Amino acid sequence: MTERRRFALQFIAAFAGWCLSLSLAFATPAEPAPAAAALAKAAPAFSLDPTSALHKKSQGNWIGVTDQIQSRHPTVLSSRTLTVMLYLLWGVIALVLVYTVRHYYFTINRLFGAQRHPYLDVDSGNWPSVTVLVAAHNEQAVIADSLRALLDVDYPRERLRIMPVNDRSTDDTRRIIDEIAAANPGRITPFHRTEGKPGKAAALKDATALVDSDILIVFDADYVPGRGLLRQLVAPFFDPEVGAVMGRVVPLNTGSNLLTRLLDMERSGGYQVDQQARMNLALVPQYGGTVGGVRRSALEAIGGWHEDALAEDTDLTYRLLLKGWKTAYENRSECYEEVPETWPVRVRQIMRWSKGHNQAAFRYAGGLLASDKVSLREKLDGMLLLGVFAMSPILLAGWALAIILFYADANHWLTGVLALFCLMSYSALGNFAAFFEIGAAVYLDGSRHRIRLMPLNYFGFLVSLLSITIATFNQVVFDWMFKRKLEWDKTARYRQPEAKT
Amino acid sequence: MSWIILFFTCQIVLFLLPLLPSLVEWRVRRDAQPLKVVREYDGNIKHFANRFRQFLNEQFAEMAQVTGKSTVARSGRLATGDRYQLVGADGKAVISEQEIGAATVDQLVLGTAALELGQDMLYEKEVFASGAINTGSGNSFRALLARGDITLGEQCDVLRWAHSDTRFVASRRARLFGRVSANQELVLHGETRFGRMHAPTIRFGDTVPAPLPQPATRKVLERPAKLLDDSANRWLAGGDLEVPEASFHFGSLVARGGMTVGAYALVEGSIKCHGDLQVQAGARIDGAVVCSGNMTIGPGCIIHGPLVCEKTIEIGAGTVLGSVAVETTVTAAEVRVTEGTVAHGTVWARELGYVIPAANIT
Repeated sequence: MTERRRFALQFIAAFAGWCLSLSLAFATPAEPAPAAAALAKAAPAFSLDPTSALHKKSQGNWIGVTDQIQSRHPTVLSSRTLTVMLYLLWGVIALVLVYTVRHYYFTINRLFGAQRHPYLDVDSGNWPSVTVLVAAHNEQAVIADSLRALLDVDYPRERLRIMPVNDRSTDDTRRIIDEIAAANPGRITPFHRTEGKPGKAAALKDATALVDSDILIVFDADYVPGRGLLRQLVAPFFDPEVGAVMGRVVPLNTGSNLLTRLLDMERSGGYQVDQQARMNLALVPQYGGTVGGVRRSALEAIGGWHEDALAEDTDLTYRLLLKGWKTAYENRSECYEEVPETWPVRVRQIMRWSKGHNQAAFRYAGGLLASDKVSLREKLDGMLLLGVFAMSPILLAGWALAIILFYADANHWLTGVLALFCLMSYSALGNFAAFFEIGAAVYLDGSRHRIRLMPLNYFGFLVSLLSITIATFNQVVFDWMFKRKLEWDKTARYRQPEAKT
Repeated sequence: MSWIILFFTCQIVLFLLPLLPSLVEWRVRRDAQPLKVVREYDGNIKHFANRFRQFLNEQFAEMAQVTGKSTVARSGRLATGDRYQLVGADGKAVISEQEIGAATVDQLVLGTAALELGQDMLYEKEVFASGAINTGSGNSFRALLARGDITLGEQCDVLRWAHSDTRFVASRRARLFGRVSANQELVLHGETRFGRMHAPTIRFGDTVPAPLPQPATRKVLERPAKLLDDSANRWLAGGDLEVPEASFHFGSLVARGGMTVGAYALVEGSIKCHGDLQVQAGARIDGAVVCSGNMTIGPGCIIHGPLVCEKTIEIGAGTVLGSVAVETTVTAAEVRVTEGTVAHGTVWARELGYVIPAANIT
């Protein structure tokens, strides 16, 4: 029996078990004995039986939707307030279910669906001119490896230009870049940026103004591309509908500590399953800002880089989408990167992502829904993608609502144990479906033992949940109230700098 | 008190028990290496041929000295236990009665000059020749490498790969399952099945029909009434798009539905459609042709850019894809090419490639 078949059987068995337990929950309980019935009449209004809500109710109210809310402490919380809270809780549960279905749909598509790699086989062609922008801000530890790897890539030399974008570095980055450029005359065009707005988008904007290539490929300075990577990333641009392309990021420092190992699995889930499923289903693969590229004419058509964008990648993905350009994902175009090795760095990174993503959501959600250039399925997926980081505060709010309703309401079934179970099961510290996604990704990557670390991902998700919630709260309340400017925060590097020569 | 301690101990054990595999893996680190990213392999079609050539240079360095001089076949055994046979200048491999009986040659056949191989045999190991390789019909080869031409007889199979430093010719009904490449030219005849191929020139069939006459003038393509977007020199149409016969357009065309490019039309740009695409006879497209549905290229077309299709491409006789100066790629799940077509570069059928014999052209 093949691994794939065994996995499929296990999945079917789990699904059958789930169906069985659900059918048992729906089953009508046996008629109670007279003595038990008398006892039941005297019992309190709510039940601790988690499945009681699924038992058949009176005619036309079989799940108890029309049960009236009845506050136990009307002086503290009125029944009307509790009713509003109940409907909010319904909303949270509905949202969580939507995301759960999304995760399962993506994972099942990735495991059993047809896989789309339409541009992977493009081997020969009139390759367009390319400029590789290497974003660098105090990158003395990693910039040399990146540039040397780029010098070795398999791409027509006369069509390739490498441009390290040294954004106001205060360390040895400039010296290292200049030395490598001098050793490879005509191949590297350094751009040392000494003034202007801080941030990657602003730096890329200034660099793009100096470039006349058809395609811009963007790498962060810690990325070490393989020989064939550039052709793979450029091939989708033969398609005149593709405005941006994204490759797969693979953590290099996986073995450093528990955090890096957890992030390695999380990245697998994000790329191996999530991004590839979106590519398979012709949804909205996301340009990730690095190990990817953009067509210069498309970039100009949408107004260039937005230097005030905190997540220039998400920002660009949506602006391209709204103008009818597609982003292609290349799962086999893999490139190593460093992931954060300490929790404070990880927290800062995810807070920055969260703010940037929310910023894009505020800017483009309305336009996306109204656009005539975007298909319905892309709109749905695009909206869900925009809302990913908003789900953390919504989940926490759902917990708070459930707990308050549990203690304050005496009547409605949803405020009982079932409500807590709903939230705990589907969303506790993340979302079980997300774990399924990660599990499938690790399986597809062929790594066998690391999947055992999966339960520890709960803790990583908890940290993310709280970090994103705090970031969102700060963004919505303090940044808005005090008109604070959103600031770009650089992720720390862990490789040792090369010695001075 | 002791009961309370026992209770909490049990609670901790119950909590930690499901985490035990995680905690063990965390501490033992059996799978803590980064995922493998192959950095050196660049997807070159000649990858296996180059590795085999390297292997020959290491194992049979003397072959360079004895090339063409030894007239007596010699056999031996490699350190791995595999048998090999060095074939002399006469080019005749010695095949034992036992091998003839089993119709299987289970040794490396290495020709120091040209090789002449018989028919109806299975060559389980690689075959190499310093000169050309000519084979009879009905043979199956694991892999072939020659510094000269490779000419396969009818109904021959290549199971893994084949490479010629000059020219590779597959006679009718060949089945080329793996990678096939040549430094100068590939020629495939009717009813041949193929997978991935690369050569500066790939000819399907021996003869190419005369080019179709081009119209003296072409009308400029009218802008459709409703376009979703027309920025970046690209017209984006929401539904189907039709480029009329003998019309001309400078720029790229994208249709969210199907697309038809009329006969003798000229598009100086790339085209893409989400539905089926039909390019009619004598049309010329200077850029790429991309299609999510099925693609039909009529006879006598000229397409310079890559052809990327997610389903089936069917190409008519007399069509020229790419050029010697600028090679191109044809890729689809299924590629069906009529004899009389020429492609320059790569043709890659992910599921099935098939050469339609000229006699079947309707």
